[in-house]
Amino acid sequence: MDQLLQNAISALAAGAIYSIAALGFGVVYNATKVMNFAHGEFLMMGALISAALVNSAGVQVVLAVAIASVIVTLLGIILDRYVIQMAVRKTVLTAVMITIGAGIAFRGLMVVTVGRDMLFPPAFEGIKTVTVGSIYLPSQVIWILLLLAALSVALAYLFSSTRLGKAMRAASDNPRAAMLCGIDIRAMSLVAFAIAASTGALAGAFVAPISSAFYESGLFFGLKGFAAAMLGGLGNPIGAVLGGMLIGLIETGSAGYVTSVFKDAIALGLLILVLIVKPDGLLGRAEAKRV
Amino acid sequence: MTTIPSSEIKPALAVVILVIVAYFLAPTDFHLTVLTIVAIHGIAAVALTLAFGYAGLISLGSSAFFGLGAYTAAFAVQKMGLPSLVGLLMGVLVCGTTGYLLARPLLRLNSHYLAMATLALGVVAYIVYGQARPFTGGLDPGIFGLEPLQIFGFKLAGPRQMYWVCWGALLISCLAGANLVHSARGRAMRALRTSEVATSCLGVDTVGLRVMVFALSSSLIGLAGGLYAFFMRSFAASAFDPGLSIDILMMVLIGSMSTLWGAVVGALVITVLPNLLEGFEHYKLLVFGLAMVAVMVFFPNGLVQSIVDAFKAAVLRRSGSVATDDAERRAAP
Amino acid sequence: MSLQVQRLSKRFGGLAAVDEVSFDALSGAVTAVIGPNGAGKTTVLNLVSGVFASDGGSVFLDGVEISLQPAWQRARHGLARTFQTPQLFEGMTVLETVMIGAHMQAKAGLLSVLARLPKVRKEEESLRLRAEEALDYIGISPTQWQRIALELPYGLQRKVEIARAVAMQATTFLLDEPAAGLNRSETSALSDLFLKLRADGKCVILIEHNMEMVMRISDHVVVMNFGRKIAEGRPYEVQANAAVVEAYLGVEEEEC
Repeated sequence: MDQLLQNAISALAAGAIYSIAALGFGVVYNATKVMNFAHGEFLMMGALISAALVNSAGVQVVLAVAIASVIVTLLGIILDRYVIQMAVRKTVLTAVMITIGAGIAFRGLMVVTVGRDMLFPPAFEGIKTVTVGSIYLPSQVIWILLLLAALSVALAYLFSSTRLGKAMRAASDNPRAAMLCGIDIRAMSLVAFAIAASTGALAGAFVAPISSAFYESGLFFGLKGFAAAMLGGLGNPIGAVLGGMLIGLIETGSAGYVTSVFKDAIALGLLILVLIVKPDGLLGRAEAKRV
Repeated sequence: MTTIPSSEIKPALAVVILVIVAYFLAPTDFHLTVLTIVAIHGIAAVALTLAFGYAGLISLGSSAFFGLGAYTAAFAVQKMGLPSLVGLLMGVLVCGTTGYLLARPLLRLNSHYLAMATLALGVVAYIVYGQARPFTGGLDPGIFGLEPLQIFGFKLAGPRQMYWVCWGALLISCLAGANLVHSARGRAMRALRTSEVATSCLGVDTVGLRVMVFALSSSLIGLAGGLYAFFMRSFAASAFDPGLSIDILMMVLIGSMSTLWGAVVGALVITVLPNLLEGFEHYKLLVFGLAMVAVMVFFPNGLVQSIVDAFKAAVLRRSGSVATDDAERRAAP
Repeated sequence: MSLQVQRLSKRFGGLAAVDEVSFDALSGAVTAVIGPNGAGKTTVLNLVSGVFASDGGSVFLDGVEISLQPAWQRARHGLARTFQTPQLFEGMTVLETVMIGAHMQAKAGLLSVLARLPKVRKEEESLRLRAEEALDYIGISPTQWQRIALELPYGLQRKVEIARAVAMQATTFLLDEPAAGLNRSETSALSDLFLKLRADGKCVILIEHNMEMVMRISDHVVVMNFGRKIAEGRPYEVQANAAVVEAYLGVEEEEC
């Protein structure tokens, strides 16, 4: 029983990361109808840059995470403004291949700047590990859950109560009408990418002490984020969190029965299943189906 | 009319001549090895051009079929004791059948979801290949010491011999593909891309057609995989990582979305490029990623296609003849 | 040979786009379906051709029920249709476009095609011949055959679409506003074409707004409004029908 609860805690941490990835992915999809296949690289870069700053340059953790987030956000904005929006033809394949290429370029950038080594940054300070009976809640897990809570609240507030958030929702629901109301669609798109990049970078930086930072980890971050997003309902923020948690649980739950390598395959298998059987996800898409 | 559509004779001859010349000009066996790999990749790229360029199916999971073809061929020879040609054929059939079975559920997906699903499939296959030790030997040692390909009693091993086998297979694949494109089914495929509704109202089973193309494409990729197995004779799952799927798709995009020969050019570029960047190991990923983005942003019809189109447009401006234009269009597949 | 539509219905959300529509269209006759915009005429066409799945009712083609068949199977039974905006194919010449109409004649198996065996080449030749016959029947001159279909003038594009339908050797033609955007002489040529199809025993079903054409060539007229059939009969009968007049022109308001 205790082992079960202990496993559930690891699941929470993993799930929270997938939830944040799914949230960012959904924000971009809602705003631009583009599936950003480079999304996982935002997490990877957040992890790698902050880890490199802490380990090699001795930068203070808070500052390192902040710098990493800023850099990744800038890269996200460049991706949208100077790459995707410049594309001559914008078919689905073009957008997909552009984002995949961008992901590879990001990976290559990391290799050139930070290197191919796997980095192990230390856990964040400030919170002590909590122990309840024989179960312990590692401090980093608490940090991750706090991050998820903070981001969820921030995004919920943004989209429901601020002018910017409402403008973004209008732009994603009906771009033409939004433009007629004076909303700058391209700016909304930029903001969406900035949100996705920054939240992704934070998630990556927060999980790096647990899972290490490595230039190849973007693919799996991305795919599991997609799985969480599709499972919960693409573009649906509550679905993103639900999906992320479910994937985290299923992964950790299966870790006892299959080797750790296969547990990655399970999340992917789930993604394929959802796509084929119920692409709307458990909670349905954010947008209403137009007749 | 001959066995090859008239518009394909010139490119076919060009390729044949270049292949023969390259063999004699190649300084070392290493160069021949690289060129043989180009041919093998080329077969996969042609397959993907058919599936994607003509039937509009985005697949980011070709590495799965490539590996399946390789492992099936190896299994047939090493574990079932079958002759190598039979193993090769089995690889083709297993991939074709798998492609056929996967096609119906996959093709119901819209393009975005299809891209995601095939990407995930490629990664799942990679994981399975790495773990399924009884069939694949896992990550280490994988398959080793596979007997070479035997045709009519001749053992074909090493780049000097496999060069001809692989380029021959590529040529046949291109011609078969061209025959398909120039047929009634080929026309239906092209029509399908513009308007699926209109095409089905003309009596074309559009879903069935796309399933067929996907199955055919998968079998060809299986052929490439099988040839890879008999050429390398030792390999492990690391050869079939998801990056391979992206590489093959890039070959299609560098080449052309509307001619099969473009895929050959694409295979040449993508396979040879990393070798040229030797010494700049560090920068390979970055350069590849940037190149990919640049091609997709500025040349979405395929880099070679854009160059060819620009060339044709320049020629037409000089001659100013509508008839030439029509003849060109009639000639292009 | 004929088309029978029985109590066909289609709902979109809460709206009944087509509500229990029934009519018969005979072969060797021109049946026109008319009505104000939004009456559901194109939806009926889409239901009959199988592009939409119906929410009720059935369709019989030459006595065979096709209600559950997908569009391509209905086409194979002899049902051809054209679209409000000509659905031609990118990059294809007139000849190639019409050859696709003859697609159903291509029976060679995949392997034969890949090897381009003599029988495949023969089949291509006969497809080409059929397409050329259809183009002649419609009256499109050979000088146009190698032009890219989408680059032709609108009237000619429509004719190519009809030629494509003829190449299908269809028994029943569903035509969606074929005269839209055509001038008088083009419309007259089109009318003659439909009369020719009629004389050859085809079942021609026409959605049209051009009343002059409808009155001139139809044998039978079906009038729709708000998804329902509100009248049918011979052209002059329908013209006089009060409900029809009301549908198009509204009711005269009482003076205040």
